[in-house]
Amino acid sequence: MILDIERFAAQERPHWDALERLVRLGEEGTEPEPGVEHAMRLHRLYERAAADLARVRSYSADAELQGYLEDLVARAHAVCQPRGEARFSIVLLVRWFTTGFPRALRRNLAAFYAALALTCVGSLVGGGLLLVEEETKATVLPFSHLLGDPSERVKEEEEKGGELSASDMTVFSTMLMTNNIRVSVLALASGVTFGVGTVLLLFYNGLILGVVGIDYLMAGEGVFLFAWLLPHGSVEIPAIVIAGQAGLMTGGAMLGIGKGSSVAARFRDIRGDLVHLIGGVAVLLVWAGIVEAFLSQTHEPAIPYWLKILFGSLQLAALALFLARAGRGGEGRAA
Amino acid sequence: MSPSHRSVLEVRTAQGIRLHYPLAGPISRAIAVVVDMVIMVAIGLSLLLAVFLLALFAGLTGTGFILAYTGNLIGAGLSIAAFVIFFGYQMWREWRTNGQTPGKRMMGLRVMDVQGRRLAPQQVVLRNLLRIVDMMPGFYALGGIVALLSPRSQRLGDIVADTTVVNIRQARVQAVRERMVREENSLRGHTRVEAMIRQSVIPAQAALLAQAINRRRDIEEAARLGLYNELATDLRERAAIPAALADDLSDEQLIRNVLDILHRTRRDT
Repeated sequence: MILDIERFAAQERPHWDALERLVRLGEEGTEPEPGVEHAMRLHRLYERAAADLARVRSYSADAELQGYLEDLVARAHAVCQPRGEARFSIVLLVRWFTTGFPRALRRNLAAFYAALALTCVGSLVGGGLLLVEEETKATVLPFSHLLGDPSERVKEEEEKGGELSASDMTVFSTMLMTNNIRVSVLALASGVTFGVGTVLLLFYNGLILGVVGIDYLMAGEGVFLFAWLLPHGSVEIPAIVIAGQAGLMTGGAMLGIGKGSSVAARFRDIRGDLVHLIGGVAVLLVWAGIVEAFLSQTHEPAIPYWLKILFGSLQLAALALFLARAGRGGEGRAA
Repeated sequence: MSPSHRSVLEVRTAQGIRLHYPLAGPISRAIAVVVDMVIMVAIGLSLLLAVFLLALFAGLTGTGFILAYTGNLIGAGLSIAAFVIFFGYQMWREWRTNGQTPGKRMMGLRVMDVQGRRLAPQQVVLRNLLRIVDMMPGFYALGGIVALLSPRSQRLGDIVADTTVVNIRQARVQAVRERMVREENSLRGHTRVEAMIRQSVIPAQAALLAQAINRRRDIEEAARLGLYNELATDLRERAAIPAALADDLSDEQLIRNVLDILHRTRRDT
C-alpha cells in the first residue's frame, strides 16, 4: 500500500528517469551496442516501472502519475523487444538470395502452382480468342508497337539492328526494372482484396502473353518471338508469377486459408515468406531489365537468333534448378 | 472515464500489465502523410536541383560535352532515385526510429505492433509496400475507408503487417488540473488525510468529481448544491476526513480541495 504518494514518487523517480533515458535512446535508434548488461538494466528498470504502475493503479487515484507511468511502461515495453538484424552486406544479400528466397518459394508451392496455372490459363484464353477473333489484339494489348503486323515489325527491328547506344539501353533498362517491380508489388499487394486483384492481374498478364505469342506464331515469326522473349522473359515471367504467388498467399490469409484462427495469426505465419518472395522478385527483375535492354532488343544480324534462344533456354533451366535446389535442407517455417 | 474500445488499443504485457494506447485519428494520420510526401518531393526536387546546378556548372566551364554522354545515365539515376524514395523513404524512417517518420513525429504519432512489440523489419516492409493498394483509387481512399471501419484503425497495409498507428501521449491530465483552485488548500500537509483520499477515491470517482466542477455553470443552482452535497458527504465518509478539517469547508470547496490533492503537480519531485 502506498501511504505517501509524494514520498513514493520521490523514491522511484531516479529509476523512472533512468528508464526514460534508455527508452529515448531505443526510440531514436541511438542505443549503445546491444549487450547483456544494457539489456538486463533496461529490463530491470522496465519491470520496476511496471510494478510501480500496478501499485499506483491499485492504491491511488492520482491520474497524472498513473498517466505518466502508463506512457513510460508502454514505451519501454516496445523498446524492450529485441531489435533484430539490421546489418547489410553483399555477403548477407547473396546468402539471403540463395537460401531465404528459394526456401520461401518452396514452402508455399501450392500458391506458386496456382499463380502459374492462372498465367497459363490466361495465355490459353488469349491465344484462343485471337484464333477466333483477330480484333482481340486491339482490345487486349496495351502496347502500341505490338498492334501492327508481326512480320513488318520483325523487318523494322532487323533493319534497325543494334542502333541503341549504351546509355539509351541503360535508361530503357531502368524504366523496365522500375515498372516491372511496381507491377510485382501490385501483384502482391492486390492480394489483400481477398486475392481477386492478384487473380485478375495474373490472368491478364497471361492473356497478353497468349495473344502476342499466337500473333507471332501465326505470322510465321516464331524464331524471332523466342529470340526476343526468351532472354528476359525466362526470368521476368517467373518473377511475375512468384509475385503472384505472394499475392495469392496474401489473399489466402485474408480468406482464412492457412494456419491460425485470426487474420493476424495467419499473416504472422507468412509475413517473413512474403518479404523473402518480393525481395527475390525485385532482384530477378533487376536482372531481367538489364537483359531486356541490352540483349533482347538487339536482333539479327547483330546477334544470331539461335544464340539468344540458347541463352534464354539455359537461363530458364538455371533459374528452375536454382529455385528447386538452392538452400535445400532448411525449409522450416521462416521466423 | 475509460476510453471506448474503438479509440484505444489495449496491450497486455507478460507481467500482466494492461497498457492503453490511443489510436491515431484519420485527420492526424492524413496530415502526417502529407508532411512525409512534402519531404519526399523536397528530396526529389533537391536531386533535380543538384543535376541542374551540375549542368549549369558544366555549361559555364565548357565541360558540357561530358553531360552529352552522361545525360541519359543521370536521367536513369534520377528515375531509380524517385522509385527508391517512393517505396523506401518511409520504410527506412519507420525502421530507424521505431515507427516514426518525420510527419508522424510532428503529429505525435507512432506505428506500433498491435501486441506492443518492437516493429520487425518485415512488418515495416509490408505495411509500406501495401500503400500501393491503400492509395487507390487516389488520396488513400481505400486505406482510409478500411481504417475507418477497422476496430483498430488499420489500413490494409496495417492488417497485413499487424500494426497500427497510435498517439503518443505526453500527459493525460488535461483541462482538469487547470481548473483546480490555486489558493490555500486546508487539507494539504495532512499526510495521512492526503493518503486516505488517494487510496479511497478510485479514478472513476475522481473523474466524476472533476466533471461536477467543470460543468458547474451547466447545472441549475439547486441541483448543483444537492449534487455537491451528495458528493461531499460521500467523500467525508469514504476518506474519513476529520471533522476539524472538513466541517468549515463548503461542499464545493471540499470537492475542489480533494481534486487538488488528486491531480496536483509534483514540482518538488
